[in-house]
Amino acid sequence: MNKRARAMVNYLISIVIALLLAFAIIGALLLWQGVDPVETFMALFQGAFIGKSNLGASLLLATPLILGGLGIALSFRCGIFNIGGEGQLYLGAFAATWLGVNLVGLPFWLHIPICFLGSMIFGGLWALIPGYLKISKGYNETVTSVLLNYVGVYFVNYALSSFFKEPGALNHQSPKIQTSAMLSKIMSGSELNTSFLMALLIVALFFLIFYKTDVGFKLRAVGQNAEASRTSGIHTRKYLLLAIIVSGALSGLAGSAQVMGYQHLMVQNFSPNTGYDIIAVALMGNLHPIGVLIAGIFLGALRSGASVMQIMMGVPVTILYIIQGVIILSILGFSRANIDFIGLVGGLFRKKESQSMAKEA
Amino acid sequence: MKRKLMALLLAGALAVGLAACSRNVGTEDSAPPASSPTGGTTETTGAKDPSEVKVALVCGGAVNDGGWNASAYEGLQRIEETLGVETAYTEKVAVAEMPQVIRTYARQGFDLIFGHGAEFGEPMSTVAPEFPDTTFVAVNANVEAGNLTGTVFKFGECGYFCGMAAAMVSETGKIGIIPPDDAPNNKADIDTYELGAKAVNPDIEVYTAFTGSWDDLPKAKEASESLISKGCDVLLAMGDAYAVGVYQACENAGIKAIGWVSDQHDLSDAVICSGLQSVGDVYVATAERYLEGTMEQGVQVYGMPDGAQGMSEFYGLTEEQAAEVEAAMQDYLDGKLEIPTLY
Repeated sequence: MNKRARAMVNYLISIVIALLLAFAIIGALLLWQGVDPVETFMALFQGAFIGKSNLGASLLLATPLILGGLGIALSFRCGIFNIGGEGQLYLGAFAATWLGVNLVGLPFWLHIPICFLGSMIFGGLWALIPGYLKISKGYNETVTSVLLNYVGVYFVNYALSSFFKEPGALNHQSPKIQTSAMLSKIMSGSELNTSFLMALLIVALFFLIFYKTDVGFKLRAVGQNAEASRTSGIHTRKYLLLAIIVSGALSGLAGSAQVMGYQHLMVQNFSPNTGYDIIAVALMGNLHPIGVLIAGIFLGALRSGASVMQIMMGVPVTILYIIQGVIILSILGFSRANIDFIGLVGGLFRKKESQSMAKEA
Repeated sequence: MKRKLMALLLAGALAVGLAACSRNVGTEDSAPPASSPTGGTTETTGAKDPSEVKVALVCGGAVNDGGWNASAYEGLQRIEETLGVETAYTEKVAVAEMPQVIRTYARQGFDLIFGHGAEFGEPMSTVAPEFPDTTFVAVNANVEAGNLTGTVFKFGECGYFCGMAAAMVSETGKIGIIPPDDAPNNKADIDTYELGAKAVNPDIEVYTAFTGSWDDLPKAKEASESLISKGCDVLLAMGDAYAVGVYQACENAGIKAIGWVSDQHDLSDAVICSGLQSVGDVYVATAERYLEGTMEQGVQVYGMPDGAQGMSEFYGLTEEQAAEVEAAMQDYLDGKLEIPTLY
């Protein structure tokens, strides 16, 4: 078995064990609360996947997680830690909503790309600030990007309660975007829309660029060892900047996909914590595009299944957060530990062999 | 290499464009709702079997907040006990998540869905046309559509009598009110609070401090302290969970407080009386009408004449003062006293 396949199998085994462990912990918690765990997990599964509308809701919630998760994976792989997804996502969504509301009379095939581009530019520029500070002044990008989250989110919330507020609305929200900026639904009975297809395409594109092109190779090289890349003639700063800008643009896209896809207007705190959840998605997906896709769908399904479970079983909402936290922590813990399961299991069978080998040595 | 990248970038642009294409379903939800003609009774399908009806409640805050959301939960429990229907609820739902939670209930086959608060008006107007067989009720929201009904209180009634009580108890001639924001529903009671106070003492000064949230306890406490430092000695806590913060500040400063929505004297001895909104009655009445098939279309207004609003016992007032407030309430019911209510 080659090294890559072996690492892959090890990773899958660790995820299965992590899930089993997480469900065991949650099961104990539910039993303690006097709820039947088996029935609860069945409700969770049913709410996540059974039926068109439930499946649609899961994929709908997964879409921004996949898009944003890709951006985070890219920046982490290049060694620049963009934690500012939340702010970039809000500003991206703000730009898309603003364009969606104020550009009147455009055909949809022009209006939708303009909104998406606007959100990518805003998200990218917001990420450029910590990126530039890091590259030219050496400021820690983790700190600056996290702090900029507050600026971004509160700016958008302020806008929605002042100059961008729909006149006469009770809630602090923007006006509705024009119909020409709304994405089409692709599944009846659910809110699933074309932004999910776009996310799939971007995953494929990301994979191609990152693993099959010159630029992708340089990006990976910078992430592996920036100093070595620089001495071998790669313009390290340029690629770091590129990575964080694209990362911000994808976060922005994650925001606009929600507004244009199904919310159709922006409310204050329209997407709470998504900017942080995408970090969990990126890490659970092992910073690989396909992994991010799977992790995004998994977390989306968990979210949507959890709300159905809450309704059917009457479990308090707070238990849901514990469940999600335990699952994410467990997966991250096991996948980051890099345990060589094949080696362990193989070791049991080949004990004698290795003993004799040890003697020889 | 550059050319290859260029090609991929072009493909990226295509990906963005793809989301734009294939829009055959288009804008299903922006089409006007297929509503039945307005006015008169719409649900004339007759009585429904309670064992087949499922009722859901969606709340913005926690159902154990001892105030606004607790009253909805109490209403839901009364519906389950007295009418024998299946119920479920979801609490702490952010405005952005409301449409999805409401849709989830509708998809799970719930027949009657309550949204507990004016903030549910907009999300329910969006979702209601998608589920024509489900009945939506937005409590405290001024909305109506084919299968969507709003219920509102006569906002402004309670504020007036709370203001009277506050002015009677105040020794400094300064009283305060701590509402979350100046949304129309709250504004009506804020205004009549001042009117009621001035009816008792024309020179009284009324201070307002907004918290920006219905359950931010520390912020409410800070707001209370700033009002107290201005010399206010009676505070009306017009919020949900944060009322406790106001009472704590009042206890520390040794001044009086007034409760809101439910009788909150058991939460703190500082509370001299409370303005009551019996949300539970609204829930049970609405569910009964739904089961009987006599639900009327349009916004339903509940006020003091229906017994849905009123005042609690007066704990911190002398008998004459209490009698004076009660006389004013009677005058209002008899039509001798005009209060500018919202509905």
